[in-house]
Amino acid sequence: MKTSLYTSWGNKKAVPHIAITPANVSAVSFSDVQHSTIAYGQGRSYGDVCLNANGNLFDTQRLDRLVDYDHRKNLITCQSGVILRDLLLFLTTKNKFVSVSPGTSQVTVGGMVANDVHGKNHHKVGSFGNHIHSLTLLRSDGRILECSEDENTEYFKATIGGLGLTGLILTVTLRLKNVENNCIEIKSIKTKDINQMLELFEETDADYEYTVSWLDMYSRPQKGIFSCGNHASGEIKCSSSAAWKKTIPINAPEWLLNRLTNKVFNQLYYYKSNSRAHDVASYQSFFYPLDKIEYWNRLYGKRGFYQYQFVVPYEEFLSVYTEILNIIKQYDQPVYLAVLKKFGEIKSMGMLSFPRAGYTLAMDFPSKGEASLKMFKAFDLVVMNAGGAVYPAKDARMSHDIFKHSFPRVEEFSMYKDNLFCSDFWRRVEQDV
Amino acid sequence: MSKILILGATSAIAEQFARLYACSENEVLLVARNADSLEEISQDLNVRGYSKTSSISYDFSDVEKATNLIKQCYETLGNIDIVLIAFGTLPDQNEVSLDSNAMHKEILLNYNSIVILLNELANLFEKQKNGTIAVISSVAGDRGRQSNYVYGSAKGGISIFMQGLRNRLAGYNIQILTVKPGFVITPMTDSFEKGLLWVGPDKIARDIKKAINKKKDVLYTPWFWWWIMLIIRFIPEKIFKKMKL
Repeated sequence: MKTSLYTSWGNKKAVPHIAITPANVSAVSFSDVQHSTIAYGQGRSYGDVCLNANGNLFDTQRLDRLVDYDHRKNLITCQSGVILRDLLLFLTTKNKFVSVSPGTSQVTVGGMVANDVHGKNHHKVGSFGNHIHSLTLLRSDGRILECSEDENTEYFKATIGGLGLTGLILTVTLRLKNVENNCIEIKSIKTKDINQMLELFEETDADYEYTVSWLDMYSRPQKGIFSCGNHASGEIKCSSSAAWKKTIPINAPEWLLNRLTNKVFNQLYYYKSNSRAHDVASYQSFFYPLDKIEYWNRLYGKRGFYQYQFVVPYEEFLSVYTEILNIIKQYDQPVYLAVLKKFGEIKSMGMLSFPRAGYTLAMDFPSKGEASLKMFKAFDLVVMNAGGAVYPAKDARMSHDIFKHSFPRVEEFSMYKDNLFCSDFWRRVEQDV
Repeated sequence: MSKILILGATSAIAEQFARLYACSENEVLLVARNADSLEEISQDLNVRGYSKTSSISYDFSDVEKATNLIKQCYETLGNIDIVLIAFGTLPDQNEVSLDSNAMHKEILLNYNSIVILLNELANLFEKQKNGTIAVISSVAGDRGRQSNYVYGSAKGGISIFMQGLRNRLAGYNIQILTVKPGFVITPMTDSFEKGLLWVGPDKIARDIKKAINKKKDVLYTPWFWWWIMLIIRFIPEKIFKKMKL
């Protein structure tokens, strides 16, 4: 136990924590926790849901063991610190895959549960929490709760999307899906504006399991690349791109990523990809293109960056999108990366789950201090008026009003929260809960 | 088909190493002191696909029982293709400088117990006439420094012992691999500030596997430590003794 610096994916200034790094599940103890603690996995959430500045945290990096695998029942049980990348390397040798995968494989299983993450197939299968068979939760009073849809159901629903606040997740049992190989058949279509993009989401909904769209926010109207894909069939093998992985070793100077370099990148990216191109590629290159560049967040330099991700009902999306564009223009902020996805109608399991029917847009902004924060507040109003929600996993600044508005079941949730668990995020939004 | 013995199986490097060999052709025997971790690791390796995973809970400071332990390992596995010795502690130099009993314990574990096990293994491997004996030493054993010389001298001793063993067994088709890692993020180094030169135990494990396949004698891992230690070894003692290292 000692003080160490921890930060999250937004790469803001690292803050000291008294870290406890248990060597195994039986070694987890609360006796050294002073005021509060939170689980820290790979630190891939963007803001402060995984931080507890100047307090304790449980670093789960060594709780990364597989516990059980049932090929016939399609179930795997693993500890919460298992990293998705490693899990998939194991599963794909058995022709299995996780039912839902987020946009990076550098996340832990515990983190995926706690943020009830979604993937490109939400319209087909819902979010990560819809595919959890069961989980074990260690409460600070020493109780170990087996949670599932049949047992300790309320704790189960509070823990899925519960931002790690219901206790320490020890193990998780996931329902898997069968695949025939490690490849994805991909179709990419260049789009000329947002309307064409939305039409493509509607058109491809039924035939494609995975759909996602990249947007070039500098172009007028916003061009983009719509990609859709399915698991490939047959006995084929795709080489994974892990071999040429690059690492950004240190924070880049802040001038490196600017509007000009970003515009050039976007143009190249757009023109490089073939319209209506078909391709078969490894699951890694389809799901995790950015994982090829380890610590790409350091490209933003030491100022760090924000991501703003919201969801609004389908019918509200176009008008919200227009308003958001106006606000960005008004505050004159650059959007370095923007991704649009469609959520389907399947209800999320968790009391605080973010995914719900509608369109969800995620945008990356370099941190510009007050200007960024004011702009996000303006976004919040538009999103709230449209009956939408803002995503805590990506957030570093939302107010308790916005949180409460986005997650109306928060009072019910707080009944199952563990008193010893807290995060910087929770301290910010809990007032009046 | 390989039969693998890991002494100090709960060490972070050893655990990652064991994962690299997990497949239905291979069998592994894990030896370590911490029974809880041992059980979790054994379960994990079993799921990952070894044809057989067994474990023995053993305290390596119990040097009198070393002969028995190796005998028991041979009985369990039949023969041994690869053995990795990975246990060890990293004493606080200031603490052991002030407490000779504590220093004795550290030397006992980090030198005596390892060479006794090596001696037992070498005699059996000599009859077996094949296989790999790999031991995790350290770059700290290449030159004594005021901040770390108790640990360093034990590791340096291990490296020299391994050299001698390699010389003795050169005609026997046996690989004697001395692994010298630099800074590794493991429970042993939890209290250290980490910088650019630090790597995860998975990187060390992958390098060890590669070195075994290439029949190497000595492995510096990551590779740049070979250059760093080359420079460090070449600094004249007159200058070196005045440096704060």
